[in-house]
Amino acid sequence: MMRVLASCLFVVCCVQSATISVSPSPYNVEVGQSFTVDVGIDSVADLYACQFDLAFDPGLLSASAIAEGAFLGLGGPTFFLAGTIDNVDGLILSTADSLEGPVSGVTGTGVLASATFTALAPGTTSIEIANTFLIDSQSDFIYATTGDGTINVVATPEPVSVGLLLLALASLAAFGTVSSWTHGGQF
Amino acid sequence: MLSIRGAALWAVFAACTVPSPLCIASDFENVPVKRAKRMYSFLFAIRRLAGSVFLSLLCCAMHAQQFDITPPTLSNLQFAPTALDTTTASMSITLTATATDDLSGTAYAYVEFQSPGQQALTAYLYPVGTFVPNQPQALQGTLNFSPYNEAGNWTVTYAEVVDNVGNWKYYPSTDPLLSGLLPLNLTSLSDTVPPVLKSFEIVSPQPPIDVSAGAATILVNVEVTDSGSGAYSAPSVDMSNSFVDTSVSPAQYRSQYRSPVQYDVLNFDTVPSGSSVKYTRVMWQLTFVMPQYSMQGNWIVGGAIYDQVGNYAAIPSTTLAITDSNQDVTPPTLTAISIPYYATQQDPARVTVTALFSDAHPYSAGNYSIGCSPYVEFASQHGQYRSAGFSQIGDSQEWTATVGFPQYSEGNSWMPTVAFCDNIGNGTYLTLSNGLPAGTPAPILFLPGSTPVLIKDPTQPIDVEQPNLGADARLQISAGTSIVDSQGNIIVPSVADPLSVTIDTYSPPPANYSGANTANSLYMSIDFSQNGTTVQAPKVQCVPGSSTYKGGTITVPLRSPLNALSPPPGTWNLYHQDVASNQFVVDNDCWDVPAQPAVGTLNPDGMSVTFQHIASFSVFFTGLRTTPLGDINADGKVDCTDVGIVKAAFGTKSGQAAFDSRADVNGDGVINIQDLAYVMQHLPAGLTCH
Repeated sequence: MMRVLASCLFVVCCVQSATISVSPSPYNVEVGQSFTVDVGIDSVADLYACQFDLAFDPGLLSASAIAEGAFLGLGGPTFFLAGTIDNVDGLILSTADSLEGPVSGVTGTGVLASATFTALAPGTTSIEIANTFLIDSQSDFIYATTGDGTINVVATPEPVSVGLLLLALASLAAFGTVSSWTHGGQF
Repeated sequence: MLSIRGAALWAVFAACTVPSPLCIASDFENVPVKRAKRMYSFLFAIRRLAGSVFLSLLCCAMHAQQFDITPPTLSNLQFAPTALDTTTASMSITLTATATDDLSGTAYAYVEFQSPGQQALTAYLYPVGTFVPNQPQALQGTLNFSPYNEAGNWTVTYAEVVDNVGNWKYYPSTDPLLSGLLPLNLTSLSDTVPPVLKSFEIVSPQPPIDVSAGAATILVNVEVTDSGSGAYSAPSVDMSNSFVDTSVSPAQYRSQYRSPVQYDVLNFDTVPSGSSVKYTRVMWQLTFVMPQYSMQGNWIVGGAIYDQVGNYAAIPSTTLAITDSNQDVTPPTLTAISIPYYATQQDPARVTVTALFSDAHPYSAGNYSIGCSPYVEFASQHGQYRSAGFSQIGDSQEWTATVGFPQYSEGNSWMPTVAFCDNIGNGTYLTLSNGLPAGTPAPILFLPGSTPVLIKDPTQPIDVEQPNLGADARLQISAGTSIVDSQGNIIVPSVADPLSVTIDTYSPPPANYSGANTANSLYMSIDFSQNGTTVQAPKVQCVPGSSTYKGGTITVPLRSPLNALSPPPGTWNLYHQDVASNQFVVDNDCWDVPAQPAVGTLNPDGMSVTFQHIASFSVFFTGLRTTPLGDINADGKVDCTDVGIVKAAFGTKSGQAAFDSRADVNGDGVINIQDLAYVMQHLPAGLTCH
């Protein structure tokens, strides 16, 4: 009986294991667009410190910055290391964040860090999370699944197309005005 | 009986802190493969593989080792042919035998033949083929007879067989193995006449020789003739001096000895002998060095000369007067020695001995060295011997020797002997009963893979000791507290289904781990199994503040005993292997609120440290910290300087320029969040470094 009870509680616990993931995903951006994705943590318990790397296709994206998220700060002062951006190999290495002092870790869901990229060329790339370490306040490892992000970079519309689009919009606007006027004429 | 509340508390505690296959969802396996991903997967796999290999090694070490104290046996000894004619050229006989050994395997055997005039020749036989325990193995060897060996019947006088750990069995000529052998009948030119000493002269310098101001080089000429096999065998000549020193109490026997440092042939005569020549006369010149501070007085010079087949004649002794106003007749003294108390059987096991010597001679004090191959030797109870020479550590007076014990060496205590001398040759030979300091350990060589202890009654406390180390490697769990596996299942022993507990110890961990001194530590594992199945990632129930669930008490051994009355300063920490990461992490006192590292107590015998309230069980070792946890620059406090050191080296690996070993607090060769978090967690409350 006790074995059954313990086993059940165990399973319940582990089904709710933490997940670290990139969001939003999938994310559609245009060439030349600067955009930000979050590295979030979901359903974590007693998180004291974390470290991860991000890998992306350097032919499609260029990383420009990575900033601390708000989640770990819920537990008190933090020490954030942005890590190293390598746009040649498509890596952001050794991003880390830690609480300071003998405090409990943070439990729940939130954003660990935000990374800013610029889209370089059309195509689809994943932003992969790797080399992940999550550590609790007892120095034990926290196990987590990872969820990579997918970025779809689409071509920026060409100038001619833009002109045509503007013309179409202008026409649409004019039609709309008439329509409104017609509507208004009914009163 | 565990209450429902207790079970629930424990289950949540255990399940959420113990990794399991359910909990370990890989970071990598379920994502698309890309270049960077492959790199990370590879590194991750290497890390896992390293952990697996480590565990496998421990596993193999636990089950593959045994002690061998039984010598091999020899049978079917034969040789052929049984008659030789060497009147025109040397000829050989071939010897064969079979040997059977249980564990380490036969190393060699040897057989002595003796002529009617007692010339002796020894044949060595070596194994051929592959050794299989307890199965006969063929041995083979040859023995060469020269034209001048004595003619007649050569009989086998004895044989001996030796295994790879030094167990040996002696067979006298009366043993059935040898008594049935026919003699070897040799026809030869038969030289039984010893060589002749034509002259023996101390050429220079002329005695008395004064070495008060420096060493003297002494040349000795020895002229030898031989009409039989020839005189081209170096003469054996030595010089020695001794006296009973009554100036000390008790009186001491003092002796010094010199042997040649060089042999030269000045001139010779030869005659044709077959396709070669025979040396009918040889003038040898032997060079001796008599160093400054040598014993003064009349040295005895003597020895023997030999021909090519071992016939010999004595050199009549003469005396050589040495004067030295500064003679040194006192051997150095052993001022300290460190011998590990334990060694674990491996292939090979190694015991490192460190010794400190000093020399009281006023003319060599502060400028001496130990000059005559000091060594340490260990003898087992069944007559196995292992030895190694000391090497000086730099220019210090400290010397170290590492003795190897091959696989299957005998268990139990090995008695040490330390022999050393100074540059002049004043020597000392110390044993446990004669001169080694009181308390010098005789290291125990023991096996991993100890006999498990079976726990059958769940209502009784668990108290298990490692068979060889006794209370110095021990697990105690109070009644009512249970062991739980990685799934959270409580292990319930019974008579029909007992819980098997095995305590093993292994080789030393790194000498410095996470800032703690672990030079005197040993790995120790505690393993549980039931029904032949190992309990994975076992924990002992521990609920902070509970009057029932207080974890276990474990005692981990030290390599060498410490003085418990004057213990070294510092705090004893316990490290256990995290089963998921394969990293060793500091064990917390599981009963404390808030959690703090468990602090151990040095036991009165100085041979082990005991920790209470330990919940996680795998592989342990202890370390002595003299600085606060997290104080990686050892300035006595944990502050932002320590954090800065980790930050500066963050992300680096051993071998890279920015790598700082101080920041690698877990000693894994990589500075990452584990190291940073470790320092962060030990910052004083309220101190921020961001």
